[in-house]
Amino acid sequence: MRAAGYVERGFVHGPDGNIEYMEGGSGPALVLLHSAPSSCALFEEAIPLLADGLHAIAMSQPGFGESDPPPVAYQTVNDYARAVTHLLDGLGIERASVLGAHTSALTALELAAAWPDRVERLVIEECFNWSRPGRLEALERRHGFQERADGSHLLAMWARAHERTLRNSSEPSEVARLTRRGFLDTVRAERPGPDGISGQNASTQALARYPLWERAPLVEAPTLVVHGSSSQLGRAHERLLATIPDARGIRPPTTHQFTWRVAPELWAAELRAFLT
Amino acid sequence: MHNREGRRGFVATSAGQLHYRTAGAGPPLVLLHNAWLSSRMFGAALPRLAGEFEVFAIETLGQGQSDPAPAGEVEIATYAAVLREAMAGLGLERPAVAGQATGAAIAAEAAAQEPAAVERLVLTGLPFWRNPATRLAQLAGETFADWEPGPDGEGLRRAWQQHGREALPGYPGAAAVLVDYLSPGPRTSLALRALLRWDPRERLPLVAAPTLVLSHAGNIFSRNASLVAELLPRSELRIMTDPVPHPHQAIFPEEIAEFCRPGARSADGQPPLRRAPGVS
Repeated sequence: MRAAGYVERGFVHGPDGNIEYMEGGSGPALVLLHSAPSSCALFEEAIPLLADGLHAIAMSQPGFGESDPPPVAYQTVNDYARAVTHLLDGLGIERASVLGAHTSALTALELAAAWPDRVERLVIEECFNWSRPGRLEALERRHGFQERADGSHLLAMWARAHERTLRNSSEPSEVARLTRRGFLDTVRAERPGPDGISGQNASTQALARYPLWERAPLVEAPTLVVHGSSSQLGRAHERLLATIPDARGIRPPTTHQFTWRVAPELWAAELRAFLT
Repeated sequence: MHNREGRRGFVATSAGQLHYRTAGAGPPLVLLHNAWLSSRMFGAALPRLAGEFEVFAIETLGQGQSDPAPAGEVEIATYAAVLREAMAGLGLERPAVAGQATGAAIAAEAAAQEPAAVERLVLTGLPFWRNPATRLAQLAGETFADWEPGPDGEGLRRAWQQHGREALPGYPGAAAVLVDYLSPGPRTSLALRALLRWDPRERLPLVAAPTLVLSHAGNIFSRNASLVAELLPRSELRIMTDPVPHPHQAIFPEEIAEFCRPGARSADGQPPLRRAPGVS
């Protein structure tokens, strides 16, 4: 018997290597896709919130967390979406709902557009069009870290993880724990794959060439579009609602971008209402 | 199948889920890593050993990607009991077990706890202090104290300068070593403190399995390896001398394979072991 809140960890052995996941709960399947540079650990404490009513499965995208980097770095968002089908195949799940957070909102949307048979419902949080000129550079400025002999790149990664953590947490031991985890996720996303390209770099390049407005009209699944009330990425909110055929939107109150940690109870309730 | 990292999985125990990498087919062989590191250190040895064994590199509770250890200090006896649960959970019957450093202490302790659990034992670089007081005195020192990155991350730069800058074999870059250092959470040195409290003089004589005591001449404990061999009822001693870049993390897959290979045994099923001098 599993205790309530038990999160089981595992790997699926896909064509591109091991895919790490965490799962819990029972009910309709919901795949949770993390933002970059993070990992399935982003949802470790979220899975128990959904466990009553949903079978939540968080995966680390190839090249992130403990998922193996693919033999050849992925080039497109479609490649990342295909990796989600590898996870579903490995777990024997025909059809699931999919939630994509921030950068992986595009992966979730592409999965729904390209594999409509596999996606029951779609949730996209902080979805944004990253293919406009200048946005690749913005992503690279924000996330690129050059290794330096004196180790100062590690301090930069630590500072970034600390800053991100402070947006949603203030309790000191939680800040320490989440900063450490955010740092570890960043280091792992920056490690070079077999062809020398890091998961972070591959994912950034793929995002920057994704034709969001051509793909969004192909989504058949009922879709929930989420942007925080103060999120700059909320600029895309109305256009997503107008472009995705069956979409509704919510704008929870935030001081920055929305993540589940901003309002865990609200998030779980909205998902349960939309998905079950 | 892309298998550069081996197949990976988790096995549930009463203390939490242990992460492992596995490859190959044949008699079962369990590999246990150095404290502070993970199964990743067997990146190069795994494919070599997978040619003749079903290899499981199991990560110690609270290290690598295994679940955190329970609150408080943990003893080698607990790590070993959890390992035996994991081996049973993986369906391994009497595997050969090869451990590195602290992993060697856990391997030996598992064999001492349940002689039937281990077919053969390889102890590589088992830390052994001639004087138990010297061993226990380290508990109070800085070397095996937990370390924290600190609020500004300054501890990372120190770790990078001391250990991290050079990638160990099997690691895809120096920073991956730091991931292993930091993954256990704030108790970075928990397993090392357990090692310091573990008394090999009391435990090694209880090991029934034929045991290969391996060390590299560059390992500071190699000069005590013969004492380790003498404490074990059935042991063979080998000191490796070919230069290696990291004597304390060096893995010797050829020696492990040779010693654990079932075909290598003599007609009566017993290995061609010499008894360590001084043990009747």
